[in-house]
Amino acid sequence: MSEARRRFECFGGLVTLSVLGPASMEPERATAAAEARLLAAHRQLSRFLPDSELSRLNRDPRRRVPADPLLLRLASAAGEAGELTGGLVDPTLLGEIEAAGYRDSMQGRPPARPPAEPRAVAPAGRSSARSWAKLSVDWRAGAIERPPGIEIDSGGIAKGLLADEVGAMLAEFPAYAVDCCGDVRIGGSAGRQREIRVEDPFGGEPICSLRVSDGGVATSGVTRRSWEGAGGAPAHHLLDPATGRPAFTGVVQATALAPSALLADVHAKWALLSGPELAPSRLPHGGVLVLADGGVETVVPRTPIETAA
Amino acid sequence: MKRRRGQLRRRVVATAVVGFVLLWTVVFVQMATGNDPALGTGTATRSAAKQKRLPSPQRRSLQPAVPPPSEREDDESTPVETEPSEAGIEAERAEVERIEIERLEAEAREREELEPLTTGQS
Repeated sequence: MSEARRRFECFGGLVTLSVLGPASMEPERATAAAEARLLAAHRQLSRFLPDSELSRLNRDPRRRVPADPLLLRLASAAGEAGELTGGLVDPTLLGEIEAAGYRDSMQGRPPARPPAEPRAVAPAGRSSARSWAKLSVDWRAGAIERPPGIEIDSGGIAKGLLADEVGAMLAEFPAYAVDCCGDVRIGGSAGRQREIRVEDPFGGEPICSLRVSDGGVATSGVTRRSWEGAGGAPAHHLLDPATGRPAFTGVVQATALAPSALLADVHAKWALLSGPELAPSRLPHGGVLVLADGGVETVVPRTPIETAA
Repeated sequence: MKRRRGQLRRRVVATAVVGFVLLWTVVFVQMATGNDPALGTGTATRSAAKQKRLPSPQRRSLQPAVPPPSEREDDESTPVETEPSEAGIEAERAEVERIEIERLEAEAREREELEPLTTGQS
């Protein structure tokens, strides 16, 4: 039995793959195939690449646009994220996030002012436009329907989606881990637990660790992808759909456990945008919250994680 | 008559000396090859000697789990004359030890912690 590991740049950050298995199952070969899959998905779904399929979709003036199955899944997941969170997690705010200053991948760039200093804090609210609800997928025809002008931000959703997809590719191995820049999928036929350490948003030692044998873990926060906005005001990539501007809710980082990495990503964002009072209720499978005053709150799961697809 | 008596005495003495030497040569050879009759069969003697030479605790721990081939042969009351050659026993023992070491290493790997990962802001 040997563990094959790969670490490479993808999705604007670092991806780590780990596959444990006997030599007869060729874990090295499997990690190489997984890396190739993730890099191809990055080229397909990055909004920072003008020729990516996502960028072409976002520019396409047609209402109905034929798309590859992966892009169909992304559009479907975007709609489901909005549906699940009542519009609080809205992956159709691409115009707003570019207007706020997030126009390139920021890979390797340190935060402009770590940590982002909150001004008046308040829970985020829903957008009246409800653009996410106007996305629909025709699976049989392989097409996405939406009013022209609605743009999808792949953001964390693509990372969670791909972590799950690659996890499914590796499911027959005794143990595997797919870490897409913090959106993590853990699994394997042996059911072995792996320790997942939660990063300190303020740059210190990990604040706690979780043990996962099958499921997803994701973290969202406002201190890493942050920059100086208009007038030098702190800005970051998690927008309040009601205002279209960076949200300061009193939660600076949320880590969610869920049956899948995609769901964990959505729950983490939902918890952060909901503010300290409602955040624990947004983490049904458990998680960790870091508040603006530095306080750390561990949320005990109300619903045990069951095997996810 | 006197000369004949001297010849007979010398023959008796020579025969006794030769017999004595031959007897002790046989005993010496038997002891030197490890076949001390007072300690039972030769196989058991070799097994004991091997166990004393086991160098590490891990190797010693292998002994109770899988009896050495020589002991299994004893249980079946196999005559000494039909036991495999010493080289064969050594090869079989080495194979048993190799398999057992591989099994223990696999179990140890199973108990090992998987390398931790870190989740941070994506």
